[in-house]
This record gives sequence, C-alpha cells and structure tokens, in this order.
Amino acid sequence: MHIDCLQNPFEETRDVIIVSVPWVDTSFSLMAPAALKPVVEKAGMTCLAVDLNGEINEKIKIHPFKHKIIKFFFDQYCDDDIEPWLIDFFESTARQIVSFNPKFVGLSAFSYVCKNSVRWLSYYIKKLNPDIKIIIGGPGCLQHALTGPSDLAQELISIGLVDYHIRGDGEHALYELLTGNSAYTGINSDYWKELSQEDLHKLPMPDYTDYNFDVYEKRILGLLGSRGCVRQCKFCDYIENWKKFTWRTADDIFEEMVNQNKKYQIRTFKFQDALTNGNLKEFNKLITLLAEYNTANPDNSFSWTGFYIFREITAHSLTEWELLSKSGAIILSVGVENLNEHIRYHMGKKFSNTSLDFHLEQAKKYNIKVVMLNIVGYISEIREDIDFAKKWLLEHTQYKDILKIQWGGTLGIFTNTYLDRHKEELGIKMIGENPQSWVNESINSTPKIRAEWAQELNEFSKYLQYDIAENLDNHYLLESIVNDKNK
Amino acid sequence: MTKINECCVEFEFEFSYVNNKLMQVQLVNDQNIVLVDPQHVHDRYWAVAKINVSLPTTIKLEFEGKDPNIDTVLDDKGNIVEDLYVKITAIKLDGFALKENFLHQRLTIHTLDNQCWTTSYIGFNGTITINFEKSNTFSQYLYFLNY
Repeated sequence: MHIDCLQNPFEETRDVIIVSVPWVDTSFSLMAPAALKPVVEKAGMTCLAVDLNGEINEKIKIHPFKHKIIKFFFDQYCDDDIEPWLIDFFESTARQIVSFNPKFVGLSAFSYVCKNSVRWLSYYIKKLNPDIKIIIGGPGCLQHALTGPSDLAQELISIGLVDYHIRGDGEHALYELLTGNSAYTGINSDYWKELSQEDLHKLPMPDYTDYNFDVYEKRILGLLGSRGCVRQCKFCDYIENWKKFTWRTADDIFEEMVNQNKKYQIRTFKFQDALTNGNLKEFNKLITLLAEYNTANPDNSFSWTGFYIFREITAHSLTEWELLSKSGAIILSVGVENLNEHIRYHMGKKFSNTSLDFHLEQAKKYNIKVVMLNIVGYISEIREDIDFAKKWLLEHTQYKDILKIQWGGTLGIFTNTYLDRHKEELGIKMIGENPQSWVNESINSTPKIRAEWAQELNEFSKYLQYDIAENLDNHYLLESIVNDKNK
Repeated sequence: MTKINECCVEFEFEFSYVNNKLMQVQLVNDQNIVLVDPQHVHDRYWAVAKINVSLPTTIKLEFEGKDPNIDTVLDDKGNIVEDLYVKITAIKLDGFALKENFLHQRLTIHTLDNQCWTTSYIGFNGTITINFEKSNTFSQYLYFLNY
C-alpha cells in the first residue's frame, strides 16, 4: 500500500512526523497535525504534519469490506477478509514514517475509535526503529473522551511502545517536550495546563502545507475560536476540562480566515471549538466582519459551520439571524439536548420551547441548516417525555428541510461532571464501567430502556422523513447496550 | 533491523511450594529452550520467562517435578490441603497481553499418562503445546484475541 501523504521519493528527513490516525468519521480534514506543526517549528525542528485519517477514509470508502475494516477500528475484530489489508496498512504506514528518520512521531487520536490505530502503528514503528520516540495525544487516548484515566497510554507506555502521552491542550506541552522538558505538566500526567486567554491569542496559525485537500469530500478548514463553554450543563465533561471560557477576538479569527483563504483558496471554515457564540460581543463583531467581507467579495465569499447555542429571544435576535446569514453561516450544530423544556432546564440549558421555535423559524427563513444534538434518557426522563418528543417531531415537520437530528448514544455519566458528583442525591446508581451503565430505580430508567428510546426516536424521525445524523459510534453503542443481556 | 515476523513471547507463572520444592518448567521451541527461573518475593514464587521466536512456530511448555503420590496433600476427609502446581497467569506477544479467557479455555495440557486437561492451573507433569500459525504478531495476537 502506498500512503500518498507520507511519500518520500527524495529520502528527505524530518525531525518530527505528526499524523492524525484513523478512524474518524468525517468528510473533511482534521486540524491537530496542522495546529501542531508550527509548534514543532518554533522548537527549532523540521516537521511533516499530515491527516492520515483523511487518506485512509478515502481508501476504505471503496474497499469491498469497508464495514469490517471500520469494525476493526472499534473492537480489533479481524478476519481473513481484512487481515491482509490491515497488515499492509500498518506496516506500509510505519515504513513510510520511518523513512523520514524522525526523532519523534506524534500520533493524534481524535476519537476512541482511533485507539487501535495508535496501538498498532506504535507497534510497527517501534518494531522498525525502536529509537524513535512516540508521542500520543488527543481525546481518543482517554477512557471517556475528555476525562478519566488513559488505559491506552498506560498500556502502551508500560510495554515500551509509547514514550509520552500528552493530555489536554497540547501546544505548550509539545513545545516543552521537544525542547527537553519532559517533566512539564500534561506530559505523562493526569493534570495539564489550560491555554489562557493570552495563549489563545498567541497561537500560531495552523499550517496545512502538508495536507492534500483532494482526498476530502468537502474542502473545509478547521478553526479554533474558543475554549470552554459559557454554560454549566450538568452532564457535560467538556467544562470539567476547560473550566474557564476563553476566546480569540473577532479580528484575530477573521485575519486567520482571510490568510488561510489566500494560502489554500478554501472558503469554508469549521469552528472546531465547543461554541462560536459564547462571547456575544466578539461573535457579533465577527459575523459583522464576515458579512461585510462577503458583500464586498461575492466571488470569494466565506461560509462557516460551528457549534452554536440557542438563547432566549431578545430584541437583537432578529438582527443576529440576518447577520448570521450574511456572514456565511451554513450549518449550526446546536446542543438542544432534549425537546422537553423541563428537562433542558434541569440540565442547565435555559431556553424555552418558544425560543426553540423562533430560532428554527429564522434558520428556515435564511436556509441555515441546524444540526440538533440530543441526549436521550436524561436522569429524570420518563416514557411521557419520549412521547412528548415524538409529538414535537410530528408538529415540526415544516423544519425537516433545515433540520438534521442526532439522537446520540444515550446519556453517559462522565467522571467528575455535576451528575457524577451528585449521583447519590439524584438517585443514580452505576452498574458497570461504561458511562451509560447507570440506573435510576425510582423511575425505572435502565441502559436498555434508554437505548430502546433512542432507537425509537431515531426510527420515528426517519419515518417522518427528518434528516438523521447516523453516527456509527452511536449506532454501535446502542446496539451493544440493547443486546447486552445484563442490562 | 528487526524482522516483522520476530516475536517475543512472554509467560508469567505462579508456583506453589510443597514438600520443599517447586515444579520445573521449560519453554521449548525449534530455535530456543528457556528454563523458567522462579523468584521468591513476599512469600510468593513467581516467574517471567521470555522466548524469542520467528513466526509461525510452536512453543511447548514442559512441566515436570511433581510426584502425584506425595505432592498433593489430603486431609483425613480427602480434601486437598496442599498441592504442587504452576499457574499460567499471563501470556504476552510483544507485550500485548492475551485475555484471561484464552488462558482458561485454550491451554490444554497433555499429561504423561495420556490425559488432556484444558486449564491454566497445571497440577500434572506434561506438556502444553501452543501453535502460532500466523506469520506476524499482529495477526497472531488478534487470532488469539478473537479465538
């Protein structure tokens, strides 16, 4: 197998190779290698930073046993149909990486489905050259995406396949490691240092020079606009890691968009943070800048997508939607989380169903797609709430052209979240290791019932012809819960 | 440079100490023989033994030194109160540990009196043969994992 993004016809060398490893279910580029390349160069080293996931996704897409290969990335199940392909992939990738004679190789795991790639790429790289230091990082290295121990790092470090695990924001830790300070917080430790407001401003612009944008379905560039969140949702583990909301200024973000457009001729951007409109002042400034730019540059206008929060309607809401449209917003991913207002309020999502209707009406007016993210089976959710959600779906089919609904893999109780810290008083009892393995006996809420609710809502939405985001991770998770006889 | 088909197979053993002795174990392969050397730490006898092999291959684990007449001690009611044994507590391929169900369900000892027992608790003199049919660690490990 030949990996284009790692080709080395002139036998060049690089001090550091950073790759995003498969498998991540995405149609556009992953940002981490590009974001870390300038950090490596600042440390005085040469770097090749590539999105291996993008290229492998393209190869898998046309493979006759595509689903078996994807299943391998989930659970390491391998049979004769895919074994030759997998060996070829891991060995060829490792050989091509080693051909650059790097001192360090960074493997970026965006999702837990990347674990088996991290495991076997580390293995083959060390097998070919045990002197190469391997660094792993990304949410996929952790047990529960953002929190908890890293069994993977512990396992691979203990058997000598990985040298360093960087946790959390990697920009500082990677720089320190490459400049000789391997004792820095966040390297092989449970704690790490969040990027401050000032750090965020100083972050270098991601460098996508080594990316091949032809392998993606969509030509989209990632952007980092903020860290943390302004809300304190009780289920959220993200805010337990990024405790403070920090943001980049509108001018700073806009400048990056203009520069990246000049460099790569890409006009669509995806904010890779938790929300775009956390700081309303800066957000309004940014969409105003973008709206002005788009009006002045109709042939090279920008569009963007990102996470967005719905708020209660204010006097400015109508103006904001108009500006959103002019700024080039095309898809807003919104954590509505539950169609029952009382559940949302309990979660900490304080916007009413009236406001939800208003925002959907505006989205429809401006033809902006809303990806509605939901959590089925909140701690207080009962059958009547599922029935209400179905009624809501039935009564809102006028939005099906702009709505894409994701029902998710049911509520998980993640380490150190509000729900985790208040389990006893909330009547939650953990019955297994997975975050979804909990019961609330007072309302007979079990993992199996919740998974069945999620599947029921999924099917009902499909029946009503809503566009459904069928994430393979969640599909796999729900199937395993429903089929688990112990739950 | 290391060859892709080379594999370090590691075994971990726990020993009982009865009648002032331990059972003896050796790992035998067409390229290597490794005598297992137990350590006595904190009232426990245990050993880690590694054997480097080229895949595919076969490794035999040979157990001896037990006298069934005296090394299984019974009380008046016929209950076993002491037993000379070796337990296989882990098998790792290039560091990757096989699951416990492999140890419990896939290891069969052929005793000197031609009996077969599927167990990781070895209370007989005899031989366990493990066939490594694949040509690299990746395939072999996953084959055992999904056995």
